[in-house]
Amino acid sequence: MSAQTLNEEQSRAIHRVLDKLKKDTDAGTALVTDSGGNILAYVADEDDESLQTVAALVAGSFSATRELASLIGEQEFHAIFHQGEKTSIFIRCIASTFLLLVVLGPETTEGLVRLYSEKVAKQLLPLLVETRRETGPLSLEIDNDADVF
Amino acid sequence: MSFVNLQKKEINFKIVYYGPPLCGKTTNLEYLHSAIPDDSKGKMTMLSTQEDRTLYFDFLPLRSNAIKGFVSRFQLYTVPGQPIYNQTRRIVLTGVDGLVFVADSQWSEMEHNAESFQNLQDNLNTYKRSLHSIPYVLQFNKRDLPDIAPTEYMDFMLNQGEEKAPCFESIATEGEGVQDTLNAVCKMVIAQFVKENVGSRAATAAKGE
Repeated sequence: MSAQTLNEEQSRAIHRVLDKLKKDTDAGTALVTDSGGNILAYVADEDDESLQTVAALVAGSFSATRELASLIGEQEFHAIFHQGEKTSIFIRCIASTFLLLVVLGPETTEGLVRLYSEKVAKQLLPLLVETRRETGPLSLEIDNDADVF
Repeated sequence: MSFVNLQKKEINFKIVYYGPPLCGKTTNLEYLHSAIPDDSKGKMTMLSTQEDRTLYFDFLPLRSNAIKGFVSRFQLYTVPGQPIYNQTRRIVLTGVDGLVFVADSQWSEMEHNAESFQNLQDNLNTYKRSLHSIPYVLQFNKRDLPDIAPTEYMDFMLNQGEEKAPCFESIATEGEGVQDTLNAVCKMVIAQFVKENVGSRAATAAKGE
């Protein structure tokens, strides 16, 4: 099973879409992850390491709700909203494989984020599908004798 | 499925610790979290019940420079061992790149080891994957306890694939064998990644396909 590869051009294109979403909605974080919790791109005030955990939890949470959906005869829930007192999380599924996550504070509203996320999901779809195509050979240098950790 | 970000020069791998209830999966991750330097690890997250049993999964993100010019991110997950959480175990296996099967060495747990190992194979089958194509190692844990099975017996019981998986004896509560297990599976995962993504792509390019 070959790896999913995101090149520099794809990364910049996805980043541009997320950046505009963040500005349009006044959100704190806009992030795209795959269903395994791998972050493809993000625009955020948070640091990178905590977002790794956020992506893993969101991917796990979405998979669990997919099982829940199947129990009531749905293939999946297209969107999930986790409502907090001040900060909330909106998750929009894209093509059953990718997840768009928006962290929103009191400066914005769920409705606005939902509205823009619909548009952004359509813009992201062709870019995300492109990352699943085979790319050229990777050139890697590995020290086989050294421990990884 | 491993993920390569060429802009950030990062490669992500997913390693899952699998095994019967209370075999020491979470203890493995807790030891690694305490032993690995701060600049190579992120926050450990545990989704547990009030009784400290794993409900969903434990998650520990690690970083290494094993591949020159890239940051290799190894995302370690455990699964809940209890039989009722099989749906959750199956979900956690999504896109797995490498596996550690943690077996409990006590004689009383041999049946649970065998059931869990079969459950692992059944759950991989639902993704049309198998242990033939995923790097994995076996860890025989709790070697400090009385009334434990010989490693030869456990090897005979669990290591019946065409290619023998590497086995490690461990006492996870003391950290013995834990880092060796992790290093072995990480090296196997990297070797598999190179085989599938460097070799095959280079070969394809060479043929002009």
